[in-house]
Amino acid sequence: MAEQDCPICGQANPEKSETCQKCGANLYWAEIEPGEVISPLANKSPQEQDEARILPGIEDSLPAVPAAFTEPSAPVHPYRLMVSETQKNYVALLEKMTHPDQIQPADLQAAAVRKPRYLLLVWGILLVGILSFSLFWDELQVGIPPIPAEVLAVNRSISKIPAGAPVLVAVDFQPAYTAEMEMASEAVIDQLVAQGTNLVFMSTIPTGFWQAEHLIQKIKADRDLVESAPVNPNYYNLGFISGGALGLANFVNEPYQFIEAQLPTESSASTAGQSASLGNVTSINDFSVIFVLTEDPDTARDWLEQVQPHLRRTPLMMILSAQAEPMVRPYLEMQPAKIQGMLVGIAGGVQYESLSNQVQTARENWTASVLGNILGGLVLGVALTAFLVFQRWNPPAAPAAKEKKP
Amino acid sequence: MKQVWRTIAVILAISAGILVLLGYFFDLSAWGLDSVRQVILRWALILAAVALWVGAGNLVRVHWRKMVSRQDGGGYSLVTLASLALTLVVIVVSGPNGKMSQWVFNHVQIPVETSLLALLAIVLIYASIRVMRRRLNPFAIALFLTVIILLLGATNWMGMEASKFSMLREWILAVPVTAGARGVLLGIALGTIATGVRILVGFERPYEE
Repeated sequence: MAEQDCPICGQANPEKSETCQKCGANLYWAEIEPGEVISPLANKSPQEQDEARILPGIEDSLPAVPAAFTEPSAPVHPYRLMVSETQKNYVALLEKMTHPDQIQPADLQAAAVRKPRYLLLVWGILLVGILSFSLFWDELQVGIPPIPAEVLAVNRSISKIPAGAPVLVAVDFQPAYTAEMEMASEAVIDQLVAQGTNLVFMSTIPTGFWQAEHLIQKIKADRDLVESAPVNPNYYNLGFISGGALGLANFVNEPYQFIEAQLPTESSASTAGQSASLGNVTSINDFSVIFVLTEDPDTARDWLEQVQPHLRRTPLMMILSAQAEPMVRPYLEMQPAKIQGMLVGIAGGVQYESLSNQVQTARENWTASVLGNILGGLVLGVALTAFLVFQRWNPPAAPAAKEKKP
Repeated sequence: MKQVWRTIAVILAISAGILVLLGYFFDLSAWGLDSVRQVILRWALILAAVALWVGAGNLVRVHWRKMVSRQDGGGYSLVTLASLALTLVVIVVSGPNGKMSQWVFNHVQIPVETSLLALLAIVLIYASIRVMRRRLNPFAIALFLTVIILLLGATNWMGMEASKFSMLREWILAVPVTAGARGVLLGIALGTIATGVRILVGFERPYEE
């Protein structure tokens, strides 16, 4: 009688045993090896592989044909598993359902067709040309979007803050988003400066210190341009607080520890009045209002989870990039609301500027922003229509052979 | 001996986790545990800051090896290391609050990162059209229609007070997007709770790896 050795412990077991007599390992499953993965493009030249990508020339971009580079493993049916033909068909059907992008030879041929790279160039010139055009045509103005309740709430809260009151501003956005975030927040920070509040900047990202300085210097420069008596902003820059959510948890518990560390060296806030004002900040609730400037929904969530539950009377306001809005808006609309006011993107900046009538940075760029949106929408709309019509008249070829039903 | 150290690590991790967690629900100062909780949080803060240095050290090691072994893209590694060294020197000499440090941020980091992000406007539209060429199933059509509505409905354009696109955009943001976002947020919350509980009861031991 033939024997079979256990691949785990080496014990000899009678043929057709399901489990090892010594270690109990399943003798069928223990011997299954993963199927060999062969990329259909493995034998193609680097140029052909490159042309199969959505963005030719960019190595990490997605393939134009899904799964062109990493085809799912071929079905593995070890004979020892003793599966019937019907079961094999079920497995094949399941694999087909879970890998709908499995590549077909016809797709590969199509992927190797040279891509019209001129399209990228034409689109780039069109976009840059039209946006530049809008900057020089002053008469071209688009309307200001209606002002929502959350923007009015920000304005109402700021109006009530007395001079000298401490206001916490978290500058938690990456440098890449500087343009959008500064357009969204400049009018708010400018109004806080004009009212003589004591701004306390902090950040949970390493570049936050310089980002806050950049923002305040921009506001100062804009004010110097338009006012005969420029305002000297009262502010402390606490800089980077490491640890992300943990850092915030620590800051909430003892904010003065962080402020105190800056007091002796910070020259920006040198008057005794300011120091005295911030010296009274012993709790997070001593701030008149908290603003979080971020493009990242996770950062916004950190503030909502670590800081918001500790707030009793201090309102929490968010100034967000447009990309973060969908994930943060539920916190604004829930009852009771976790956020008391919110500005979103350039549109939020434009809306707030129309209320405060101070800086006009967002307003000056609003037309170009809207034109960019409309142009992008129109190009996509035309392309979608064209491809739908094309597909209608040239339907894709039917599969060569119909598969037998399992 | 190894088992003893492992047990001690598990006990420490679980105790610290539970202590910090309890601080969210109860006033621990009555039992004198609040200060312990604060100390643990401060340690975590210091460790997070040290992790930044570890990350920087790893960056140097990886790019140094790549450069020395003359791998493809070794030139980029040289640029990376030179930029790191230069920035470090500027910040050490000028100080984090210094004008030179701010100059590097204002005139190098912001323009470079902003320019890269600006390219997305061009590249994403181009990539979308290429996806349309290759695959235009009902899901892709729904995705592109949503993008078009959101882009065209970003403002009331062409003099219309409330264009159809704006109304559609508002509806999309208020109903499907908010519903999806709430689902994702609930999923994140449940996942976080599950992971936290697994660590607190010792099923997951990331500190042992």
